[in-house]
Amino acid sequence: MPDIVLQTRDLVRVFGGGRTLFMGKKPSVYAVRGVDIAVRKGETLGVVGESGCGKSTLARMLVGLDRPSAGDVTVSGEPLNDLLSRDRHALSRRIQYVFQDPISSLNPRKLIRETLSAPLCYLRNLSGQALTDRLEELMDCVNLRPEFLDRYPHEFSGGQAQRVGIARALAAEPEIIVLDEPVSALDVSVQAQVLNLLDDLKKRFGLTYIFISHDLSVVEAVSDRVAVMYFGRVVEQAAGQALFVAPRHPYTRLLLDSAPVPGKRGLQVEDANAELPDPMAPPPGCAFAPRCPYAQNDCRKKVPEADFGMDNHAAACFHPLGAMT
Amino acid sequence: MSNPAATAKMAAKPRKSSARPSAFKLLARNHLALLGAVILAGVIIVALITPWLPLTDPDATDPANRLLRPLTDGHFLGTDHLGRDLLSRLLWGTRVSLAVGISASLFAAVFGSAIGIISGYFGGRTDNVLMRGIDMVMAFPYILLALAIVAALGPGLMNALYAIAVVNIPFFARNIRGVTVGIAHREFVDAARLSGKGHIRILLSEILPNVMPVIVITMSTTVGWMILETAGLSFLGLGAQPPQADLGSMLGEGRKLITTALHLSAIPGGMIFLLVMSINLLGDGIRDVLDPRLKSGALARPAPVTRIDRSKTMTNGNVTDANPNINSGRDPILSVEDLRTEFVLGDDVYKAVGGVSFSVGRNECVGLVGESGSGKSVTALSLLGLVASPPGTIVGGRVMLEGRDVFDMRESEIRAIRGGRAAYVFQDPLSTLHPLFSVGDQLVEAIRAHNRVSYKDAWAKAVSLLRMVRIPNPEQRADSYPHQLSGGMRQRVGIAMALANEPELIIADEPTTALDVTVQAQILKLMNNLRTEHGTSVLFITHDFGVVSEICDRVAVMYAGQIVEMGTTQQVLQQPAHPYTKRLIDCVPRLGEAKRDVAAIPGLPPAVNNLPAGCAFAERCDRADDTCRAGAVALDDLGAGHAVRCLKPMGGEDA
Repeated sequence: MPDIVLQTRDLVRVFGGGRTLFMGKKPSVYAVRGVDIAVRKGETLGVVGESGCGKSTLARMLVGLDRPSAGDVTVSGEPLNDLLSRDRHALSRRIQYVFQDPISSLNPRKLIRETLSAPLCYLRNLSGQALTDRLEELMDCVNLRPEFLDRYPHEFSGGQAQRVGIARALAAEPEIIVLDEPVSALDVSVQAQVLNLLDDLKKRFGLTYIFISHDLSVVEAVSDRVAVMYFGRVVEQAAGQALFVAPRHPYTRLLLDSAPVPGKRGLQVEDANAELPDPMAPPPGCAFAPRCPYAQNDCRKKVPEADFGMDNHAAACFHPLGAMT
Repeated sequence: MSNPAATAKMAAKPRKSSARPSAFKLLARNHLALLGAVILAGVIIVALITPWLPLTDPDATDPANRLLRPLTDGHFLGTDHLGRDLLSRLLWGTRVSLAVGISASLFAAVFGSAIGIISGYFGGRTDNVLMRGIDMVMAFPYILLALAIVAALGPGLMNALYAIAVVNIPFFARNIRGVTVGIAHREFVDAARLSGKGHIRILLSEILPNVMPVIVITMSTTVGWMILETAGLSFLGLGAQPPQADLGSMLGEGRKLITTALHLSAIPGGMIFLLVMSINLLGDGIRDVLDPRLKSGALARPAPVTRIDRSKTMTNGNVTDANPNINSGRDPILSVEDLRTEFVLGDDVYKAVGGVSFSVGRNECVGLVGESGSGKSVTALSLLGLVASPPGTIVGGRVMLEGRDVFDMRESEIRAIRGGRAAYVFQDPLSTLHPLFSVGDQLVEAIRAHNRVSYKDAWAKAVSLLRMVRIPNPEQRADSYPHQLSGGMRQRVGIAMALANEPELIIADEPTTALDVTVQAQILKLMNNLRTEHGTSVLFITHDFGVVSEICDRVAVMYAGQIVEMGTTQQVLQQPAHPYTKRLIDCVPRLGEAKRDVAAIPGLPPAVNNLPAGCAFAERCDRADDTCRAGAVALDDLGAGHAVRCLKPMGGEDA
């Protein structure tokens, strides 16, 4: 499939592990336990999950800030590891990243001009007048006035700082932008401004987004396809609204039921004091089984697999919802 | 005024100098530091101009005039055992000691910081190798190490300088490494990496500017120590070699004659004292100025109760709302009238809460909704005088808790109410729970602060509280420490603590914002159940209308320090009357309505130190005209407990 620009195969990231000085085994934690996702050119893939599900680790591996322990990532067919070892600038020219906390992703002691110049200088080899022109063009893209270039980050509000973060990602002229919770640190009235801006930029520059968030309603609003992650794995993936209209995985159902909606009362709450499994001692079967109202014996023995294609609706569950009823 | 460019323009306007005092002003405010600076400047100036002063040669011996007392003719400070002029030797010696001390500091700072930054940034094996090396240097007694270095290189001032510098490298390396570790994992370093910067560029242009203040602080506090160490080595005869004068060697020579000519050792000793003291005083001052925590006033001890000064606002003609007590008709347990809280920073007055009135009825849950900076949290903290003072002051209003004004109470009475009749639940339980005590012990403390019960009884109560908030295995969980619990469990502990003394009112400040949705749903259900079971009233502060509809009976929407709309949850959500409320509800994507356009609110909320004369929302409102901007708008009663602060409220037709 030639139009797939980013694909992961069985991506795993383990933290810790190895041996201590006295040959004892160090404990290891699987943050990502085998993730397969693929993104087509020009689409937005939403990745939803709660804290600790591995979505940020996944995002960092996609842009080369972290190396996978196993499995691989390919960018337009080229393995990411090859790209990284040959020239990490080449990767940064293709994939960029927008951070969650807009203020802390800007160096407090540097002017916005210096921060934004870095990708232009080192990735696009601009200098002199060309650099100045491009800086102003970028500020214009994200609806900030050029005077803002000569300010320090603490003089910005969260929404403005996030625009700078987006401008920095755009500066490298990437094909793909990984957005890691880009609006969750912002006030609700500013969230919408940034979401609309992202939408405009995508149309204007033909960008491909991987939009990571814990907020189902935001993901629903921006994504062409959605993947739900739980405990380091993708548990459900579907195109369009299918996942929100008829979720197959009980975890997705739970997420949807837990989100409070303005004007509605009466959330569905799980009975038990359900928690994430202990990452140090993961359950042998489906990670969601201990919380799952539909779990049966087979769920606790074997990890359910699913064939996540491009446009099908698949859930990694032995007893998916909808099939039973 | 609703295009995005206008957004930028609006925010671009208030660019003025920082409200905080300048670094020099801060330093000058510290009188001891100023004294140190003046003395040090005096000594340095004298040391610098020494070559041009009309002094006799410091090394010229004159055995005829040996051991003259101070104030003799021609020798102001007398002469030493070889008849050399003491004043001249003192000034030349100070010059040498200062030069050696400062250069040794610089040397140690450069090498120590370089080691610290590199090992902090790269971490892992690099860090291990470098830091174990530093540990070995630290494990030697410093004077032994210095002696060994001097012994190897031979005595002499330069070798003493190297020795002292090397001995002090670990101090810098350790300090700087600690700071670097904190900075190296910040997001802007990752961002720089993705911008195509290499390791060396990141170290020099991203990390170094951020650790510079720490390097300066460390240097300012070590220069004095270095001068002492130089003097120590010279005193032992390993530093400056005769006939060259430096303060340590002068002291060493004077020691032999201390019984016959005290001034020989007293004068250089006094100079060492003066120099080191002034440097240390100044160093402390510099540290206080550069340390961001000290700068923000975080280390200033806040008063136990927010400062209350209601003299100004009692009489002036503020718009007071005609009907401040729009409530559900239930017997109010808490009633807030025209509450005003201000923060004074430099010359700016931030009116964080500008006249807020509302009430909470018995067994009612009232939501206080707003964006950050709207004043909702400051309102909540003001209720029991918990706003940090300085800089906060309550400048007006009353908080009636069961018929008594909290602000008229004595400090001890307010303390008895906190955690007693009214309890708080905060957003982040990890930062509100003490990390070093088990949750059971913390609950016991909360119980025993208000009741005279034995530890054992209190522990039993603590376990039953944990059971009440549905923590599994409460007997064992009471022994856990906060870091051993998940976010949801910690928030349950926070709620259990609030419930410890059966409060009538719980003030919950964004209690679920830091939690995952599935956990949030659990906590909301728990709070709802507790409310029904115990008849508690809740003031629930949040920014999420979804949460509001789940738990609140009535809602007050805040904007720029004022309540702009108040009513039952249904009224406010179904028929919002204020344009801000309507737009705030509409700008959030809703689950299951992905096709709905998300309408952003243009612009930013006004800064509360620079509020407009009229409606604070007028700049962002498409219905606003000149009357809106003319003057303050009063809260207008729409009937049935619904009130709005708007001249052009939205009617049924466009809501």
